[in-house]
Amino acid sequence: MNDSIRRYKREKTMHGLAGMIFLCALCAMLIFTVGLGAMDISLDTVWHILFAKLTGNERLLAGIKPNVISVIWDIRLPRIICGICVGMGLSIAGTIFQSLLQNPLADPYTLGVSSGAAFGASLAIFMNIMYGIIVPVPLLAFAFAFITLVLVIIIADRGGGLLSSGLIIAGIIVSAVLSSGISFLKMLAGENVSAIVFWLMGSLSSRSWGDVMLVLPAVGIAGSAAFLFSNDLNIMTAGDKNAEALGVNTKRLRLLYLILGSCITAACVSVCGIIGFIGLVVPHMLRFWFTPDNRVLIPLSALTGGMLLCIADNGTRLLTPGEIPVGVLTTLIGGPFFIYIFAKRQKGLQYE
Amino acid sequence: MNNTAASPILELKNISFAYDAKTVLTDISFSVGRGEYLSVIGPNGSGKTTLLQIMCGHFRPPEGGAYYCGHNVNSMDIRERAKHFAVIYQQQYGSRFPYTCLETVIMGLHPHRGRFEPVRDEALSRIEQVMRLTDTFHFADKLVTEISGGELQRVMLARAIAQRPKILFLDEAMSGLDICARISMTKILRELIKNQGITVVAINHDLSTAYRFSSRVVALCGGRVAAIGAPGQVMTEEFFADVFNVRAEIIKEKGFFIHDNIIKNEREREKE
Repeated sequence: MNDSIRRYKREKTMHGLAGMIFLCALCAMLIFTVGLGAMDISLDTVWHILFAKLTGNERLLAGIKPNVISVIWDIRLPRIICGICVGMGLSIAGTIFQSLLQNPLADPYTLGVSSGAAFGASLAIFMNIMYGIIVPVPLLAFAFAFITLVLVIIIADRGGGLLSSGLIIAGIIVSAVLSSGISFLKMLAGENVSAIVFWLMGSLSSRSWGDVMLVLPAVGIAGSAAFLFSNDLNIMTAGDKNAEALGVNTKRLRLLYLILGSCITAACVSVCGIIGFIGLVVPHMLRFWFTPDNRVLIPLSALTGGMLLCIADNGTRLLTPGEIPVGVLTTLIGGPFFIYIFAKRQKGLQYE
Repeated sequence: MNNTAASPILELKNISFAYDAKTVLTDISFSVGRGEYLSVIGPNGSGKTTLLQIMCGHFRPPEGGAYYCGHNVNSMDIRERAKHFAVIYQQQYGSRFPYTCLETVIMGLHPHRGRFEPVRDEALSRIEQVMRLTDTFHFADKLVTEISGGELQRVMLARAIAQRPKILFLDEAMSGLDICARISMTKILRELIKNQGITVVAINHDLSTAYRFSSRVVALCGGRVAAIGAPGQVMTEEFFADVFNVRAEIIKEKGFFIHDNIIKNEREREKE
């Protein structure tokens, strides 16, 4: 076997290995960070509680104070799992949109799905404050995100097919309209505007198991589906005509990935607002270090995104006194990092 | 006019095609023989590319159809079709996240690969073989954006061969290549025809390559078949005058020489 072939095989093995290491790191991080916080809880106790809860063996909890159990199981764990899921989801969606639209600046929010979700959430908060009508925020956010997606697809389709440029333009238009809608709601909310503003900044504080139940299945199912068809997504990057010649139904695949990416984004945004830069930076980082192969990129981005958001969220939770919204922190760190990668312009990153 | 090949692999029956109100092709019928090198020539706008897109099943003609071994190409499953047809386009490789040449050629296995099937060692050694045949293996690790146009077209040819097609379509795949690159690519194609029994259908703007290498030539003019047959029979002085509006001198058994005076200009043609 020749060098090139051997190198190719070695790379594939390395990617598998990296995946395993990342997975282990993520699990370790999950268990470790649950123990951190205002209340000092030993790793041993954390392990006991998790083990007891997961196996349903309540007898193991006998020696532990109930308030410790509830801090771990009802407060910290759902928040951390939520953070990991959202980090995973945003990174997967970012990878999907960048590959699909062939645009290095695409991120989960490019198609305006996030603006739709933000508008829905603002509307729910607004109705809640002004008229006392209680609509679950994530529900309305998700509904509006979905409506936005349909609208963007229809506009792009009318404007000459689901091409990258058409989708991006449609996304920008719909986003702009919805943003002004949000501004209008903020204006109407008057003194109560802070509730909307705070939600829009993106925060993971006080997320419950209900939020996990929304984001976990969405990211899990749509993410797996995205991984399943990732070979076809790779072929799509060669251009539509080439992809069709290689046996890929480009129209159907594009629509599928648009829906998958948007569902993931919608679920993430509905749960915790707009958290910037994770979805943009993580795929670039991994393309830069590993490969543009989506079969590798999707799972690795998911794991990396999960870890990064977990770190960022725990950073805001533990280190900052007033709990800076995590969305602010990710953008603050992600921005300079993106500039660094942008300046490097190496393998897998060819900007014109 | 000899429209039917000896042992046809692809038959075109009464194909007509129009973009909205603009008719592009009218009543095209001919067949492509097994192991043939068929060149499709004609002036710009004569419908060559549209015809090729219909032949390889990407466009569905409202009338007539293309039949591969008796099956309508439009009703074949797209993945199934990719096991039989490969297409090489005139490349402007626009990918923002480029792959290496090796990865690009491996993509040729796509129609034959299961969703979770890893690339096996046999397949990899076949890839190596194909890349050596097309003289692309020595830059297998380079990104497709780092190589020259001629090298890129050879990578595309390697990918197409890796697809193990029965028919290889070339859509002006050699435009933009220098004469040496064209000849070496055509030589590879002829080897493939001889050794693997592939059929080649090429749209060609380079008439001298078409003359020298093709077994038959189809000339399109205004969306109709103007002439079909062996290159020597089709490419006559009258043919060059009628189809391309140029005066040509035929050099027996060798080819032709084209003079630089245009017979009729565009305005006169429109008046007719």
